[in-house]
Amino acid sequence: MKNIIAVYSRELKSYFSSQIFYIISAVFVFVVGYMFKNVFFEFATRSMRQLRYKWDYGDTGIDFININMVSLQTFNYINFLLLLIVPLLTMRLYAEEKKSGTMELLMTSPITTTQVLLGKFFSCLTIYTFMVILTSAFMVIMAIQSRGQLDFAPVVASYIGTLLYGAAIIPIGMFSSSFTENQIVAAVVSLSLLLGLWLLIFSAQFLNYPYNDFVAFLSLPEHLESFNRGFVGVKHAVYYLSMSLFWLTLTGMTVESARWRQ
Amino acid sequence: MIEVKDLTKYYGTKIALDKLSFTVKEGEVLGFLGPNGAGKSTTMKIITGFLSLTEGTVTVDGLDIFDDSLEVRKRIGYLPEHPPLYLDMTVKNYLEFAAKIKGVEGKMVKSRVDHVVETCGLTKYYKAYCSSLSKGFRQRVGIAQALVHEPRILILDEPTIGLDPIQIVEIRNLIKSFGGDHTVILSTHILPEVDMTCERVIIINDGKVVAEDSTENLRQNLRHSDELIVEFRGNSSKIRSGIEKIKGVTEVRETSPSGSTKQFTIVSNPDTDIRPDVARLIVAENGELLELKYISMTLEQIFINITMN
Repeated sequence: MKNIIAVYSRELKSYFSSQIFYIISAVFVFVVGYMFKNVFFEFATRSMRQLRYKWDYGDTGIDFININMVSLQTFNYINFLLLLIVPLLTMRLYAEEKKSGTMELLMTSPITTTQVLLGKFFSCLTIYTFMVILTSAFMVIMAIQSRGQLDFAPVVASYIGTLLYGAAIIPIGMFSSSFTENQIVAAVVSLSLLLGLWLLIFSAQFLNYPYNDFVAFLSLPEHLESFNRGFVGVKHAVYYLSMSLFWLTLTGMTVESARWRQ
Repeated sequence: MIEVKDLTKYYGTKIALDKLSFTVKEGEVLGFLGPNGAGKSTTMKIITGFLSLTEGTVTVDGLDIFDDSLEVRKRIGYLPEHPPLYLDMTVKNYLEFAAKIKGVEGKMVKSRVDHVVETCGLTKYYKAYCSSLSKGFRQRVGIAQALVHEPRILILDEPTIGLDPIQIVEIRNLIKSFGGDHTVILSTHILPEVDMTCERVIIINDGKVVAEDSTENLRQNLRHSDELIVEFRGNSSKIRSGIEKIKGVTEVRETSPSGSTKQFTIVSNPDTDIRPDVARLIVAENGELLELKYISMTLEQIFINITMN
């Protein structure tokens, strides 16, 4: 346990003293802000139209356009953006160690591969969470602007979903980083894997039952939907945790096998 | 302390270590000598657990490196060819990290780090970033990390490479001081270093042990080619035939530079000191004796001889 914490704090310090982390965070928050602004303005326009409709035709009691669609849309953007951002965060986790020779230090010290793996994983998850929390500024804006009409439950559920989603995709990035010394290669490979998993949902529609449901279940965005709508489903959480465990195990095996591959 | 038996390592189909066998006694400083590509680094990487072996066994302190890998690693301090520094950390943080992952108890970390910093002369750079250090100081930090957990065994891969002469002397003295309490394996191809710091030497070439002995013995055994250089002026042919008659002389070579000064290189039996005989001979022939000195075969020549054969 001490070893995991030692690696965890080392990696965390390393992230916070790297330029790339701050640049990525800034870009991420900026782009999310821009998308949020677009979504919000569209909401504003549509709700004006809805209001006009009500004046003209009377209130049916059902509001199609409400503030919650803003949070839903925004989170869809956040989650897709994170797909592109996470490879940049994970690319250095193993590639840098191999390149600078510090992998030799880790592999010849009385610390297990698993301990190193978990330390790195949790440090990356921490800064991922930090970046995501930064976007809560927009939620606050939304809450103020909606004058109390915003449901907090979907927002909280969305954040939980995003967190679990992060726990699943970070190990994919770590896996890519573990078999190359080159960070760019690691980033490109993890991006390809993640996009592949994301786009699975589109290929699902071409298959027959039950295969289409099966493939759709494996894709990443399928589960985010329910979180974004406010439902923290156990089966979705299991999906993310299983993915996480699977890729972490794969990464651990790849790293350990380096002793035998050289 | 360390027993290597029939250690074999293949890189694909290429053989790097071929049934290598040797032992290192407790408290010994062993020199590991060999040309580049001989397998020194590979052997060290296998003992420390970085690489796996293809065949053979290695036991450290009675523990097999395969079955008890973690226990073995706790006992070894390893300095790889390139010191494994995290360049984005300060020396202090790096050594603390190294101490923690090598099993140093929480409360002991600070005192151990302070101790190795002092031992390796890094006090001035305690708060400096590793990236700002020169090669020599990076090497020292590497040595510090190998010492920080008080290991009983030190495995150092070319520890003085790239250091300036003063640092080299300091590091060598440091390594020498480790003998006795620590078991040290030192790999290098700087032969005077082996001479100065090691009690015993193993010379490997092409993955095989080609020579194994104490440094003193190695030099003694190959002293059969001690050569005497004599420089003089006089009747060279008469003096030459006279020298050839001296007991124990096996070969006389003329190595004169141009001019009136003559120079002979005399190869003789190492048991006899023929200098007085040569001196008397030259004086008897009315020659002018200018220089008379033995040149012992250096460790370099021994090394080249052994590895070429």
